[in-house]
Amino acid sequence: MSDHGRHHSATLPAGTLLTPQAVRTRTFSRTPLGRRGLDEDEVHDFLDRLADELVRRDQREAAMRANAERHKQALRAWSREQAASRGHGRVEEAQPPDRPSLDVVTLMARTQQDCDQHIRRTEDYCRRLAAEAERYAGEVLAEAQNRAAEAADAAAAAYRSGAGDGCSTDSEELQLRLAWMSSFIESLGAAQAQLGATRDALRHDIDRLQGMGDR
Amino acid sequence: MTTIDTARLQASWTTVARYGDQVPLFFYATLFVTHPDIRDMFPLGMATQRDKLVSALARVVSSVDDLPAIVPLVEQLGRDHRRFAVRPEHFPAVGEALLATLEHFLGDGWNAGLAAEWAAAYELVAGTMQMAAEADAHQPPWYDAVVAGVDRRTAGVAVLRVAPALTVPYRAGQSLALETEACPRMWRYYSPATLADQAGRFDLHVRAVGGGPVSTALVHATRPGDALRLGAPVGEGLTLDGGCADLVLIAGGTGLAPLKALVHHVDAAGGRRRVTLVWGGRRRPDLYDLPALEALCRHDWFDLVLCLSDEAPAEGRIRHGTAVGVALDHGDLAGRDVYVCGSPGMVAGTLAALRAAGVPAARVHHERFGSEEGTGG
Repeated sequence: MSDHGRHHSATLPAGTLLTPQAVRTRTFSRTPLGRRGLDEDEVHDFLDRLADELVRRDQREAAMRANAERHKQALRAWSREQAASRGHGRVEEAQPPDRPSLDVVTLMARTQQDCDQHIRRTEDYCRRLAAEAERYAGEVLAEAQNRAAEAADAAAAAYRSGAGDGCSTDSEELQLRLAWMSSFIESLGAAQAQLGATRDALRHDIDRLQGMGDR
Repeated sequence: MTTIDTARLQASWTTVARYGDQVPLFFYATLFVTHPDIRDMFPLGMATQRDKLVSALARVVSSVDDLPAIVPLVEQLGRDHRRFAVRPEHFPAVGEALLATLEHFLGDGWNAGLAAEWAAAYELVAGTMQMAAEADAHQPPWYDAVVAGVDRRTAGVAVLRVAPALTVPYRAGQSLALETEACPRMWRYYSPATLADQAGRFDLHVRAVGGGPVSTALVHATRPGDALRLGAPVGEGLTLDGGCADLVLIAGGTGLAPLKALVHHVDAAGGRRRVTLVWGGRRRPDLYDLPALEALCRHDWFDLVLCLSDEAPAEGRIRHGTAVGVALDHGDLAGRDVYVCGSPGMVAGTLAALRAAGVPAARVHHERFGSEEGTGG
């Protein structure tokens, strides 16, 4: 759009609705000669694009409102029909055509109930498995700690009897810790193999359950 | 437009509600028989769904004479439904099934007048839901994402790196509903534990809940590249207001996630408030994120306090007790904003202890999810 036809009002009164037209016809006062200012064409181009965008948004908003209004009307018409058909229905005992038979609804409801019960049982089973696995892991850890403590005591005793008078608390402590750690690692290694098998079994269960979830 | 006789509506609902689970069972059976395409929008198991429907209906019916009280609830419901790809024609289908259900259970108590009132009430609710959904139309109805990484931290906790296709505009402390391809149409809420990086990626902390299909799949069976869907960010309970008060964050287990995001948020804003994070677990493995938290200790405005409630800690840096007990012990909470997140039991216990210690309720922040929106499972 060219400069032609623009208002030459420098300010809009506060509270004026900013319409696409107001944006298009907006002008700004010129800077005094010799002072730097904005490129007039660029400003006008930008205002035009802004106005186009406003038009698009107004159109979209109007379409959305019209859409919402249509749905509301449809809903109103439908609820009036409902009320009207119920007025007759009592007399004629006729099912509206879109009402499914009670048998079908009941069957559907029972099927869903069976399905939910099945899922609940499976989830209970998983919960028990998970709790059991956690308890088992705790036991394995405690067992490994006990064994390590025994091994450490034995190593310390062996050190004391072997070292005789040259026995030092520091070296005894070192022997004790070494024995503790190697025994602990050994126990964990054994448990790891067993846990691996348990984990594979659980993975299998999970895959099976997910297969069910996907139907 | 019909004016709604609230008392009549409520009385009829009370009669129907006596049939318990039979009511939503009949409702969904009717809906699915009349509109089989809608069945695919729901998960296989419907038990939770039925509870949600009944509690939402009960809340709406009990407050139908106090519209301002339910409008925010109904609007949120409308926004939540965007991610389920609900279409406008689904609303009359649901209304139809609702009226058929009421008619079935009310028997001779059902008449044209009551039908018109229920239809008017439903129209109000459906209209409000749709308006709220439309007002959000500038946002995508859900965000597609993939799992970029899975870091199993303990037997039951994994940290997932999530890479959404579009940046999800969440604020630190908010939650996102999440659906994994492993469990279609089952949504659970999780909170990002980090701010989004330049590619929009963030971390989620997931604890496998025994028997919970979604969390179990996320922790044990998720692999990089798996598809996720995320809902729009929700929750204002744990976001930071514009204030500048120092913070005390009290976290239990994976309740750490949103509070850790708050620490990152304070960091990104220049670390201008003191932050004390008290993180508690039952046993040592529950403290699954120590290296990352200890790295944050390089900031002079950040303090980390760790505690275990169910075993005596073997390490000197970890205290014995509940997070709130240790927080109250640790220092003065006066003038500080307190943020709490953890299991429902932990949050309830923490709020009670803070109240008993005289911490003003206005200073205490926590997420209030409606009873129908849990975070677990």
